[in-house]
Amino acid sequence: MSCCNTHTAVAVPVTGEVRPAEPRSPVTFRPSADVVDTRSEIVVQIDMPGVRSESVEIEVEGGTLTISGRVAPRIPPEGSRWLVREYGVGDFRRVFTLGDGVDRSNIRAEMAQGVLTLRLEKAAAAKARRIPVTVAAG
Amino acid sequence: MQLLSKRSRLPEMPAETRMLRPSSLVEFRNEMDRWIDRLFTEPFSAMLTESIPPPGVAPMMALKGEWVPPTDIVETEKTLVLKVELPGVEPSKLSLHVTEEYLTLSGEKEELREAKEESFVATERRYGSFFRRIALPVPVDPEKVKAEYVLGVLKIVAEKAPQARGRKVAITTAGVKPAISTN
Repeated sequence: MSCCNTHTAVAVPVTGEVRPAEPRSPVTFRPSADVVDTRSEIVVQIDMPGVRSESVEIEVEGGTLTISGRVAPRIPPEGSRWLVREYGVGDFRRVFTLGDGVDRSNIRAEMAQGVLTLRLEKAAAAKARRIPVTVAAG
Repeated sequence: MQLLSKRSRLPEMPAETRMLRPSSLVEFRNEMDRWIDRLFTEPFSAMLTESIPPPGVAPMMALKGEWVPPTDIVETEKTLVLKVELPGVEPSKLSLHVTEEYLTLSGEKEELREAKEESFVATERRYGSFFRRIALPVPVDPEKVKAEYVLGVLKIVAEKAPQARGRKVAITTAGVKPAISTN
């Protein structure tokens, strides 16, 4: 096994802070994402293979949610050669616009198996209301 | 056959939602910038090596599975190193079989638990079973294969079969004895 526990989810802080510059990959990819609307929250899952949880940055600014992940550039060992290269290696970046229905102070994020899962709590007013129906006797 | 990996494809526009929607204008501009950058940074490698397998490597066989995970193969002096992008695939659902000539990988990617079809706002990720068989460019020793799943990427290191490593051959010229200096 490697240094890091990859099989359990790792919480990722949601901040707006700017981190010191790290070496950047020459390419940035737009990762594939799924968005699921449940009754109480919006769940976003983003495929970011090869990204460590500490290399994920989640920024909420105004109505914009920006997710970026840094990946170490791909350097083949000396004396080796590429036979097949089907995927590019580079940083990930994805931008979403948040609607008013999302509680911006209540966004949770975790990283597991190369997938980032964001849970955006809906604002109280936007939560689907269930109105119980009673059956009148008779 | 999948010509480009799903990450490098141009964006599909996900369905709009009141709560959360991709910021399409910003993203479109970013995407265009990325493509232009890519043209300059990887002029041919990005386009050719991703779509045309070199001789000796069979194109992917996707007949059995629902999707095909993108794979990199690097050859070193003694090993073949394969890296397969499998984000969100439970390692216990992966099955890897290696013979001297073929590597067969299959498994399944499961959907999010709370995802019922009617609640999906955008679905860009692939789910379901996958199957991939790769004809190895050089024979490997099936007893000496290691596989490790880290951060959504499966790394397979296979030692080449001893006969595939080759050996250095001295070259002589016909009829002419090597000149030996007597000085």
